[in-house]
Amino acid sequence: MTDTSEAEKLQQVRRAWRDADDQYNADILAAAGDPTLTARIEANWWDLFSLWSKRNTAALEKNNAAVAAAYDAAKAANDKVEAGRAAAEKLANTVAGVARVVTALGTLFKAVGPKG
Amino acid sequence: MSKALTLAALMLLAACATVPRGPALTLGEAGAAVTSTSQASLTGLSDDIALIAARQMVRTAIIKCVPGNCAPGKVTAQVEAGALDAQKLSDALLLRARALGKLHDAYAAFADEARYDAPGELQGAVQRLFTATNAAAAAATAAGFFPAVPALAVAGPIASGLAGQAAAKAQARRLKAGSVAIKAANARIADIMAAEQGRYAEIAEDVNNNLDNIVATLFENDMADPLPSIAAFEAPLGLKPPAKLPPDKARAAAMTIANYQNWMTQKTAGDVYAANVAALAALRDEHDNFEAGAPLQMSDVEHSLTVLAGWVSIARGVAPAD
Repeated sequence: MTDTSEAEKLQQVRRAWRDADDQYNADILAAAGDPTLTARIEANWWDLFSLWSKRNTAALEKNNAAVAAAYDAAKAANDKVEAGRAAAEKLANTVAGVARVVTALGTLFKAVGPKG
Repeated sequence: MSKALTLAALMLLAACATVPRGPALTLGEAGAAVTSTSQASLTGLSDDIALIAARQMVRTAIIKCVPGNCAPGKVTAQVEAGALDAQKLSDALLLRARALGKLHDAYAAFADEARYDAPGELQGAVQRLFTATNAAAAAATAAGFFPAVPALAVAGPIASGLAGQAAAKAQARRLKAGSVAIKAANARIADIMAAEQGRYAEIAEDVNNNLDNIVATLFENDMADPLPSIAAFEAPLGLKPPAKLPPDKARAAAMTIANYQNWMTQKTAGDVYAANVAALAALRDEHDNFEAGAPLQMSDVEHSLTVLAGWVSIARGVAPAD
């Protein structure tokens, strides 16, 4: 089956579902009192809707691997940026932490040093 | 002498230490805005598809209901099959929306990195370390633990300046590398959207056609209050409908508004996705400028974003955000 015939079939399904959808209320009302006909109209709508969903899904699924790869590329970019930022922050925080320790040490020296 | 040396060293460092944080922030925020709006266009479509089965059941129950014979709809095997098939299509679109969402995260992280003053933070921390070390050394000397040590007043600013300079270079390098990685991901997603935009548009047209029929069913059967849509229609005219409207005229007006909205939505379905692709392309041009150290133009991105937001608001039937 070629892409062209698939595309044509998809267009046929689209038209069929839209026609059924546009006519649905009128058809159900016209079939009032005839449960068999009503059931057939309902079944037809659901069949066409299922077909419409399946054809469109199939058309998109061809690219799902590429979509997954694009997601991975975006995630890798995000991780790279976040990791770089985190490393820079960690470095500054480490130095700030050491400064706090040294400050505490200074305070200790002052406390144990000669008074007055 | 030492003060002059310190000053000279700091001036040299200041001259070298430049991080393009402003342009990076502009690029990151614009990227986050574009991808967020693009994601919304696909998420909205996915959500609508997932709701079609339930809406159809309600529609059927309303139409089949006649006085004395009103039964609620039940989930039959056929309804279940239809709902599952629709869910698969909805999921396929959601997969694309998620890729855009992850690209949005990357742009947001890029903007966060641009907001972070890495040189300033490190420089300040190193300076505080030297100040604390000076104070501790002086206290230790006063306490008799150590002999007097030369003050680190000169070394402190130089070391902190060097640390700031190193941090600036590292941040500039990170921003450039981040831009390259994000641009590559942007291109991958844009390629897919460009290839599929016709499919999205047709799906959106069909879904909106169904929505129009649902809305008509609700109005025709007095299941929806026409007042809100008439009020929204009259608001830009500086008018407000009375609380009590003539029922037939109100229903006709509300259905006309819905019909127009639906026509507009179907007519512009393709424009939404074309605008997505254009906005992503405009962002990539700005990545090129950023990586080359050239000023960002941003006018194309801003224009694309405005167009995109406009189409999405029409497609979703909501007013564009200010």
